[in-house]
Parts: sequence; C-alpha cells; structure tokens
Amino acid sequence: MKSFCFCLFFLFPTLPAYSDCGTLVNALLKYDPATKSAHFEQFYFTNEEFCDGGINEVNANLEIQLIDKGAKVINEKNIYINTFTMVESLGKKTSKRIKENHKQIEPQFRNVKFSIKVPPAQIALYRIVERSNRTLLGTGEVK
Amino acid sequence: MKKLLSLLLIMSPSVYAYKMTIYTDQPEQTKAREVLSTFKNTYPFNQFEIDFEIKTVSAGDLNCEPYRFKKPDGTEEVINRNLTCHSSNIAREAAKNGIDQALIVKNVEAYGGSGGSIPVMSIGSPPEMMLHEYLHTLGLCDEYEYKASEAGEYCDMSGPNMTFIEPDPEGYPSDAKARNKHSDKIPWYSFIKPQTLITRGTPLTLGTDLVNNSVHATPNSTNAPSVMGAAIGLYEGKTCKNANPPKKTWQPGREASIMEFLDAGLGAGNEQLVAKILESRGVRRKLAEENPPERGIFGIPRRPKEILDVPVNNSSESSNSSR
Repeated sequence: MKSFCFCLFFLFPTLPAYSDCGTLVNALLKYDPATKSAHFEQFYFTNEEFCDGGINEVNANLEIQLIDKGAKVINEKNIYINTFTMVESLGKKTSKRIKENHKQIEPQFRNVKFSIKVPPAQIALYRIVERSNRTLLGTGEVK
Repeated sequence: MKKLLSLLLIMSPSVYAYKMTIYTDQPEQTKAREVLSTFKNTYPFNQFEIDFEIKTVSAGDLNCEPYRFKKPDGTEEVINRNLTCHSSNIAREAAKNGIDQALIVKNVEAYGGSGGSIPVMSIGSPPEMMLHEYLHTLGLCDEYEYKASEAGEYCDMSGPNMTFIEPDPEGYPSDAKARNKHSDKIPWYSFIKPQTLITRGTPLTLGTDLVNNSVHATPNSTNAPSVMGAAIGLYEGKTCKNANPPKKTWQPGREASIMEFLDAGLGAGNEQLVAKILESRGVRRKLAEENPPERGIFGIPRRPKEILDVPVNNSSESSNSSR
C-alpha cells in the first residue's frame, strides 16, 4: 500500500489535468473575418461524459464563455481558430516545394467541445471575445 | 508499472480520443488512406490518441472549386491548380457527430491545398500536403520566401513557429543579454536549451545561425523526437525578406521544414510545438510507447550526451538530411 501511495504521489502530477468534467456539448463555431464577428451556429447536447483537457490552447485567439441564467460564467475556454484560408499550390505537379499562396477571406468553422456540469436548460448565453484586444465578436442564446 | 498506469486510467474520469475524419469524394479513398498513413507514421502525431476515420461523401457536399479572385482591374481570374472548398456542410456534419477535426481530400488532379480551419488537399498532391495544411490549421506559419505580394498579406502575423525581431543594431554584450531582451518574443523559447546560443559572431549579432534551406529536416517516423540536425535555437529565415520594408523572421530550426518543402520533416522545433499544441487541445498522449526513448526528469526524452554537448553554431547536418 505504501508503494502504491508513493507511486500515486509521483504519478498524478504527470497525468493531464482534466480539470473540467461533465456532459459533452458539441458546438459549431463560425468565425467571419469579413465582418469580424463570430457566433455559434448550433449546439449539439449529448449524454456523453466528457473531461475537457483543452480549455487553454496554445496560440489561442478567442475567449469563449457560457453564461447561466443568473449571469454567472459557468464555462470558459481559450481556443485558436484560423482567421483566413491560405490557398497554396506546388510549382508543378512533381514539385515538393510550395510556391504559390493566396489569402482567402472566408468564414471559418470549428467544432468546440464543452464540458457542462449543469442541465442544458440552465445555460442562457454565450460570449465570444477576441483575446488580443478584448473586442466582443459575438453573443447569443444557447439553444 | 504499465498495469498501474492502465488501472489509473480506467479509474480516472472519462477521457476521449481525439477524432479526426477525412472526408473525400474519391470513391476508392486511395489518397485519404495515404494521408491517414502519413499522420500515423509521423512524430509527434504517432504519440497521441487520435481516432482516424475516412468518410466518402459527394462532390456537392465538399463544395470545392478552383480558386477565383478579382484582379485590381476588376476582372476575375481562375487558377485551376489552386483549390478551395466552401466547407460549411462538412463542418456541420463534423460537429453533429462530435468530430474534433475534419479534413478534406478532393478528387481532382490539381496539385495544391488550403490551410484554413478545415485543411484541404487534392488527390494530385502528395499526402504530406495535408500535414502542411493541418499545421496551418494549428496556427503554424509558412517558412518559405514569400513573393512581395504575398509578403504584403502575411508579414504582419507571427505564429508559434515564426517571430519578428529586429536585432539591436549595436549588437549584444553577451548571449544572456540577448536572451533577456528577446526571450518574451520567441514562442519556442522554452525549447531552447541553455547551452544553445542565440547570438553569434564578433561583435555578437542576433541569431543562432541562418536557416539553411538547402538542407531539409529529416522526416521522423520514430517514436522519439528528432535528434538529427541542429539544436532548436533562433534561426534567421527569409519568409518576409520581400516585404516592404523587409522584415527579419526567425524560426526554431536551421533545416528547411515541411512548412517549405513537402519532402522535409517537421524539424525538431516544430515537432515540439505541435506536440504542445495538441496537448493544449486536450489530445491525450498514448500511454505505452513502442520502443520508448529513455526519459529524464519531467518525462522529457533524454538525448545522447554527445548530442547535448555539441556547440550549436558548429553542429553538423545529419547525414540523413537530404539536399
């Protein structure tokens, strides 16, 4: 037992920090660089258990909050989404060198996963903020 | 020990494998399978619990077309070798099915791809094209030399693998002073070992060295980080040298990486960056690695002492590096 506890003591800090466990919600995020706005097109509620190990992504440019009916933030994530598309091609078919690049400003989509600890009906709103300048990109109802 | 780890995993709150789905309109899925195999055989993707899946869909679902753009004179130009997909249908399907990352392989013989939130490639491209585009999806920048028109578009954005630093014209009294001054502008600074200099020459100027584009990072299909090539440092690139005015760009690796040449590997710096990004997205590492590298403190793979001790500015290219 002593050795088991000893192992746990050293092992637990090395396991990923799944700090946020609850029920899985998939949400389709749409970021529109042309209008500098973002919103969730759809929330997909599930009964699956989910522990979110991705609440603070490297290079995150958006902050997302879910807010309950009492105006309390119940979930917060920092995520990265591309703000445009790079259209690239090789110089010729046999080439391995990327040679041509065009920037395409078009809507970007991403499935964002949330771990929810409250019944879906208690979640009222979401807020999406650009992290670099704290601009509000979008807010709306969660339904 | 492995049994104990497995037991702990079972006892721990439920975790999930990251789901990546390749959508293709190629009925036989040949290219999508090549892409899948490339991911599974590339470090660090091969170290993570990723559930790959291939789904055949219709061309209409993918909604791809040649790239079109308006020229300054107002006329439209269509570039058939460039591919772009209006992927909202795929994004909806993916979210509905709990897929973390959708990727598109389009059944067209063009030789290109695109890197947005959903990476795209054509069947006429090598499978490494998808790796390149997916690294864009994760936020990594190109490392090739932009034309002046491209530099105007992109050279105001840094990324995890590229930073803009204007060196002090007076030079630096010591490497430590250069580190103090610039470390907060180097996203991969934590990967630069204390013995790797970020200055060189007399008087000291900024940069471990110049990027050597004639040497390609060796593709790494092993279960351990790359040990070939120069150490991770601060290498002067050429991505934005055609910007107006020219801007100095800096990269973590001396060898050209897959962000320039599709036959190159990620390079040691980009490997570590990608692993860090995947971890930050909640993608779980596989528990038991096959042929695990010897690990030192904090689980970081231990490199042979002779590699650690090689002075970086004099380190030689790997004999496996091509060109």
